[in-house]
Amino acid sequence: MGAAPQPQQNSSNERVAEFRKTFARAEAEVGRVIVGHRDVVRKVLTALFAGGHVLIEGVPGLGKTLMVKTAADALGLSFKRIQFTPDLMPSDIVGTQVLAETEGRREFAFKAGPIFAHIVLGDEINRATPKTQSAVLEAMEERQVTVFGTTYRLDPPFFVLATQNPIELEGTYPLPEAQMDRFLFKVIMGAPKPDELREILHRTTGSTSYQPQSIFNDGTASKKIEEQKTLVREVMVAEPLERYIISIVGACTPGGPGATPEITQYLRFGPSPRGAQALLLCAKVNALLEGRVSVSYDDINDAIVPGLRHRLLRNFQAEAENITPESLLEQVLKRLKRSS
Amino acid sequence: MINPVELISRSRTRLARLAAARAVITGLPVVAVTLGLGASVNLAAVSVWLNWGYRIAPEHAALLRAAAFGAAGVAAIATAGLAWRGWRRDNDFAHAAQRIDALIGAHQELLTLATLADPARPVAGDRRSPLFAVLWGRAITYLERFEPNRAFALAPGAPLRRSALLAGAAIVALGLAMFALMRLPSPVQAAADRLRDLAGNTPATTTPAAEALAAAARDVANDLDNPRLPPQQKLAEVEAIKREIEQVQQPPPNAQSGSSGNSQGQGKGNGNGAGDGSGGTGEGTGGGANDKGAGAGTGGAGKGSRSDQQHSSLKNDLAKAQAKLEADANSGKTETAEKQGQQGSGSVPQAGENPHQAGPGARPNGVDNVQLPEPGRTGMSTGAPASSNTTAHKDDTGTQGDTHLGDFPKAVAYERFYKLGDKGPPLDLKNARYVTFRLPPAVVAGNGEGRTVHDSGAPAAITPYTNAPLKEEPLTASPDEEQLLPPRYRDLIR
Repeated sequence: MGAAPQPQQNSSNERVAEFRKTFARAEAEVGRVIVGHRDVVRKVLTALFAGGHVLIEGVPGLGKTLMVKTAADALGLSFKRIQFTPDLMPSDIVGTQVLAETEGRREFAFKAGPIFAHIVLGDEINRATPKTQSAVLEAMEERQVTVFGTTYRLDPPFFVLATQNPIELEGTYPLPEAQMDRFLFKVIMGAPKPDELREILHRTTGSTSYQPQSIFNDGTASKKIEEQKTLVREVMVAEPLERYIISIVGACTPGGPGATPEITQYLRFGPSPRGAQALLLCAKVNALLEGRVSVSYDDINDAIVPGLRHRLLRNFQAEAENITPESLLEQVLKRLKRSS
Repeated sequence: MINPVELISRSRTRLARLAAARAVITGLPVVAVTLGLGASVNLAAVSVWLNWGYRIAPEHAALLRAAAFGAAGVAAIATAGLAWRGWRRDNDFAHAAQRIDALIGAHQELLTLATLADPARPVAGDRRSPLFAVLWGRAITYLERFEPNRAFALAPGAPLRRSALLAGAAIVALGLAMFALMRLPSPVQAAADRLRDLAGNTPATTTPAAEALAAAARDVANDLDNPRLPPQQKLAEVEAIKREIEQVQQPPPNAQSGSSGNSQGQGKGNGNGAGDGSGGTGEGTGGGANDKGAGAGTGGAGKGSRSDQQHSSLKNDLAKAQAKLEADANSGKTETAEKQGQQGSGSVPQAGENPHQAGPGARPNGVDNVQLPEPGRTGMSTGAPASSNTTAHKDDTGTQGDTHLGDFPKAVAYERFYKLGDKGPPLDLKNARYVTFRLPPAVVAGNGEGRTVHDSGAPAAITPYTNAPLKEEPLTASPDEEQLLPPRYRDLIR
């Protein structure tokens, strides 16, 4: 086994360095507007470069919408916001055919909905009916929409950030399990700390405001982000680490190999193969952020809670005893660390 | 230029050797210890016998030895198996890379490289991405100062600790097994063992008489262990070997006389004894030796205290065996006499009779009666003591037993039983050689000395009781309610 060609190594090194630089600049730009929530910002950007979608859960007023909009501005991508309400119809999201008059003739023309954007914010997604929610399913997974038999491709990078309010359950429609599974991460946005809150007051009640600068000024943001996504997929992973991911998924499945008694007792269903994909993609991004081109155990462990918490379907007993998915995942993680 | 694949391969070989070496370090001392234990079972048995008087039967000792050797064999096989398994487990390319990763903190980069560049699995190369060159370069950076032999050193501490634990467990197990198999030998067994010791300790280059004694001792020991031989024959053999031992171990005459002196001595002894059925006295006289001349002799003296101790132990054990065999022989005779008595031809005390009353044809010290020490007898002599050169016991009023403890103790204070109605401290029958029991005769009331009275002070039951079943109360409730609710609560709850 000889050494690899030097030019190839240099170009790959440059690609890795470019990724880290892009990520760091986007993180910094968002951080100049959003106070605190560094982990949330990091997870959102990680999901963006991994090619997934994010479900953000938090009480109103924490800056969820501002954060998403700031991220879109920082990356120079188009941004649309959809406020989900009970009377929102699927055509309000994906678009519809409208009768238009052109050159004296009337014909149907497709009027694209707000889903046609690089970054789509679905605000309070659990307030819409399941029918409307399911309209987003095809868009999220296939990155295309079908209206009146015609399929329209969504421009990459198509990235959905949905928020939901955990405290107001009256008149809401909890997301179906299938739709929850389509989100790469579920991120919990907590309340700011006192210092962060003071900084928020200074920034938002003063006379000056900061507008984020796009890190891609030449209009090639979409193309460059797609290159970064390709780079993420090129990160290598050893077979033992693949087996580690499989063991995590198995340990989180009731009755699965290595499942803890608590998992079997409190869960109805465990993560699907999408959960394993989410773990590996997130781990690859984490590896690149550390300057590595191969995944480590720490990269995987870092992705377990945000990548699997919304994929564990608790049973009635778990909800009655207030057993959270995070606590179950912590137990699984401890057990895996002990066994390894 | 560092080749990461080559370094990982070297590390793999090194790790495999270390794994096998650790297994060997763990197992070999255990094998050695168990082998040593097996080889020293006999020594331990002899030591236990000599020091504490406990005996491990030869078949048990052989079993322990076989068990120890078997355990050593199992340990050797297990060691080989563990070494082979350790070699197989650590002789893995990816495993070696993982160990290096953990050692230098490479975040599984070397592991990834190993899975993609394993020389034994060229198909893995198809999974390489364009970033493999970066991975290769980073691996070189990691391994620049890595030396497998220095990084993976043999640390024998942990395997030796494990080995010590296992060896200790083997020692404890064998010790417990020996402890469980130790038996206090019977006097006959003890004598047989002493005789075997005597035969075994006789050197090959010794006098013909000593060799003959050793052979005779060995034969007697075997006969003593033979359960099919009658006790009379064993007794005769013990007496014969005792005589032979005394003859052989007589100090040579020149050991008592110096080279510059003459020694002349005459010995003469007479012994007379008479006994009857009710009592006996023993008397013996012995004439001393007249010595002439004086000299200082050294030969024969200073054989060593160990030899003397063994000799005295042998004598003691032979005496005990002799007493035991005598008792066995006598009990055998008693049984014979009982059988004859039942057939009307013997003379044996019958049940309910005075045990001291002689039978119809009984003779004191006769062959058909068991002669037991009896209260009131101060000694018995079964005949004239054949004393040639032995010291006579003029004032011997006991039996003629010759034990290492001396003569049998006198039967004094034989009336240890309390009479009817007597109270006192509990009886202490320890160290009693013979205990004679006599059941008190029945108390017969006569001439107004006794009468039957009613004990009115004894407690008596005053509460009538019966074990007849109580009458069942018919229940009007449904069977379910009968099951769940006691009847007395039924109305309250309704």
